[in-house]
Amino acid sequence: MQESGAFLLRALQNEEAPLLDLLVRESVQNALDAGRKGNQDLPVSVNFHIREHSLGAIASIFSEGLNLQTLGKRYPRTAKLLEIRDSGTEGLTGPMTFDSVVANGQHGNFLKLVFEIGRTRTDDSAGGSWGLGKTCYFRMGAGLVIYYSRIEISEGYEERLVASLVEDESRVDRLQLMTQTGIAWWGANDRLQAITAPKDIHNILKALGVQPFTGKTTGTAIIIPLLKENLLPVFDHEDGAAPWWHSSYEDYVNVAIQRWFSARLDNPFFASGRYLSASVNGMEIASADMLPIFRASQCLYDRAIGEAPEEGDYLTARGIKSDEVFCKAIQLRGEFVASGHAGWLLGVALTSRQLQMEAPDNAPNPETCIFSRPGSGAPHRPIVTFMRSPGMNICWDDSIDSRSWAGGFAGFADGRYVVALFLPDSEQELLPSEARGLRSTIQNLEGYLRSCERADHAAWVDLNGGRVVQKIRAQCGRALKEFGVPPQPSVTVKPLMRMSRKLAELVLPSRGFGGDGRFGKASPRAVIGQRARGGALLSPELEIMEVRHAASGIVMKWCLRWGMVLPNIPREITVSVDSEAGPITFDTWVESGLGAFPFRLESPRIINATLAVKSMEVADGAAVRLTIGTVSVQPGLMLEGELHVRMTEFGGKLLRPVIGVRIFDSNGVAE
Amino acid sequence: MSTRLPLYRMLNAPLGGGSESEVTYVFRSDDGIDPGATAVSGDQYALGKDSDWNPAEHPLVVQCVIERAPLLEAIFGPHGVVNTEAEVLLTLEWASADSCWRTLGPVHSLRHKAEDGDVVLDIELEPGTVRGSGLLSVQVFLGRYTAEFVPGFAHQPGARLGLLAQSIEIVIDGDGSLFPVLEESLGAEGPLWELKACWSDPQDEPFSSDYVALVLNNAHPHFEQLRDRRALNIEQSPLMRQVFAAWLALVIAQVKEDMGVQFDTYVGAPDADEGIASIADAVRSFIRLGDLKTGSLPELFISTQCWLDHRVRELESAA
Repeated sequence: MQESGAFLLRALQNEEAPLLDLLVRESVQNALDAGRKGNQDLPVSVNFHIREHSLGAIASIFSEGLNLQTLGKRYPRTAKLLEIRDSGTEGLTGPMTFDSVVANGQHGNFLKLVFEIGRTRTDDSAGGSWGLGKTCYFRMGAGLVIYYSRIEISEGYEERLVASLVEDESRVDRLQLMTQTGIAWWGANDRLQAITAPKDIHNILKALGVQPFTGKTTGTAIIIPLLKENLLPVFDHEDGAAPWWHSSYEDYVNVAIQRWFSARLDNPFFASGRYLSASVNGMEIASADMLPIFRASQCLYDRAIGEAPEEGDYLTARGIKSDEVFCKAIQLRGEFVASGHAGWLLGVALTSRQLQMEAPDNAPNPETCIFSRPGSGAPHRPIVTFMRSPGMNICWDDSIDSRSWAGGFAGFADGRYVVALFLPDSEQELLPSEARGLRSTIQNLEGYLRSCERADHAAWVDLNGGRVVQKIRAQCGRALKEFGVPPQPSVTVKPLMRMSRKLAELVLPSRGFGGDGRFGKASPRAVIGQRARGGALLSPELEIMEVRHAASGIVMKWCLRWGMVLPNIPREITVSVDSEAGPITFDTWVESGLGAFPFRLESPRIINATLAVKSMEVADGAAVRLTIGTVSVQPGLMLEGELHVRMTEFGGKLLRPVIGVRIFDSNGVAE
Repeated sequence: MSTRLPLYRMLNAPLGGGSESEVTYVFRSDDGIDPGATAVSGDQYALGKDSDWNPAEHPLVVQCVIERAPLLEAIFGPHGVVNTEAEVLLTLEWASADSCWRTLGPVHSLRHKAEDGDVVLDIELEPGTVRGSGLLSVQVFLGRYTAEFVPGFAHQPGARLGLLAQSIEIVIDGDGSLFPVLEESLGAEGPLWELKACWSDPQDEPFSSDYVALVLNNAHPHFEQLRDRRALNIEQSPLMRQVFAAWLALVIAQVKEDMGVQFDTYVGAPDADEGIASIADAVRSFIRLGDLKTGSLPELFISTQCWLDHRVRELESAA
């Protein structure tokens, strides 16, 4: 299918979400992906700048290819420009043309962002997935997007700039008329090559008021001129005035960053990558300045991770006690290779006072902050969010359907607001499932959930045959419902055990449908990988068969399995002294100046040997060396014998001997 | 790999191996409830056979009876662990990783003097404190030691002298099937029974009373008619069988409705082989074992009743 501008502008298939929200989600996620390899202690910086720009700048840069007359008609007033600038990221690296991609080589960030609209990404931990998210850039304005980047190369640094235009090819007043598809690129001479000459790039940047990256800074700036004038979502004024962020693009973007990246924004405790530092028109968004509901949500994330001290966190500061934060492990049956742990659900109920909705703060209510709609009366619907490792809230769900994330819990009648967060255990490996389509590679939960996201990452929908998301949602729903409406333990309810057992015998197989112990322990599962006793052993093993106590010490019968490592090298039975820090060997005892060694091995005797075995006391009686004559040792050789452990007068009767075996090393170092 | 040698003589379960009567165990609870212990293998006892005993509600008292003569021989004899002047202390020790605790029972003091009668040790485990499985052992400690130091004998009071007999394992929880039946007061005017169905996903949630149960109203005038203690091996009255059949049909119908189009595929799929079966697994098992007709509700009710009657006849003839 030939891609066209009209197709790409509708490709994201999300007409409900406000464009500025889509833009924030997409651009910040791209920046975080591009910052994955950087210094993990430093944040990824993403700066949004919104300012006016002259139409002349556009006309001068794009004099070729744009219909300047139409441009002037469509933008009679001063237009606005949005610059999204990430730094400390790797920039738009990789080949600049498809011809320069080597066979099976990586396409790199440049081709992916600029030219591969719609190409699916394959790395599990990437925030992006479908490659369609970036089509939202073209929907912000006239469809013109300028990509500027500075990357590190082997010879130093390189700057790149390219522009593209995507517009509905069926529009009568479209800006460029040279192609039939509504898609065009501007770059160096051949148009599909980025401009790399710094002077040319800086001239263009200067016209747009964009600062070039300098020094050692790498990064990317997405510049979207000719912004639409209706990007702010409509707020229903009937129920009250619109919140402050509905008055300007700058303010709206500020809140949108909080809304979607509350866990990662200005949060050094973020666990799965570099945290996010974001600013709008030079004003950094500090965690402490976030709207209360987003601070609470970040706090829930931190509590799930467990690295941030609870004492000084936002919830504690708002008077929430530790046991008032609901925390539940979400367990799934039959989905994972190891345990059933799918992640953590954390939730909290906050009063309007705790959410700073009363004077003097007068913060807006959570529904307004999250959904940009007027607040409702009590009970307030619980609001649940969930995320993968990139830390972007997939969505905020306030459904009260019984199968929703809140399990049908409609909220507290006393007006408290419930906010909850589900954080999956990304590393859990899924069991291969025929229903989901068997995969040749192991898939972890992160990868599965990523594959459950659509282009706009706004929901998790199970793959055909999969039930992981459904199960997670059901478990979260059950847990939240119980949080909201705790089941009343009834003293009058009790199990009828005898009847339970008798009815089970009537209609069920004896095992597997319950946890009763009347048939003994659960049927053992097959244990894989256990070595059969008596098989060919590698290392020597010594077993003490019998112990007798005599006046002078201990007489022990032993059994030695020779082992197949260095079979013709002698074995040594050793005695050490037991201690709190482990056995103290003869050498260590002497080196530590502890006096005479308290034990001595004496009178070695071989009982069952069919081979010629010589035994000899060595190391002043701290070991007995067993040597086999000229015959080569057969696998499975076992010797039995007797040995006296004599205890010296000095403490030997109070210390405990430890008997071991080792392979003698002719260099004097025992293995 | 290394082995620590004991500094003094220790017992290595000298009793019980040759003669079963040397050490015997008796299990009981309070209110005359028999925990229903059965020896499932040499050293393993399972609880709950034909019993109302519930580990969450009832205590478990274990009594250990030890024959005196072999006991004295094992401890004070030529191959014993103390001389005849010493006092040893015997006690039962409960240790269970599943229950996350261990404890010792009351101590019995033993001396080498001519006395008749068996030695009886006991230990009581409180309701709600045992789960999974645990080991019960007869532990011997040195009490008093009066003679001179003798090589090979312990001489510190409190020293552990080892196990008198092989530990026994007591199994409280296993994978034995249990039908979720609850007793609750729903009032004399309330129904005789009801279905508790609070699952959110029948394929995921286990077949246990937390999620699904047959609730019997013990305040109902007909409650006592549900049990028939004369029918030794069955214990359900004809009324109970009718209640049970209706309940089964109701659960099957509800799970079928819940699962929608998945239901038929699920019923035809092989059994799961992991953990406690889910509610849907149980329904599949009912349908298969009873060859139940799920095409319509009337057919389901008929086939369920017939299956139960058939099973009762089977069990009665086997008794």
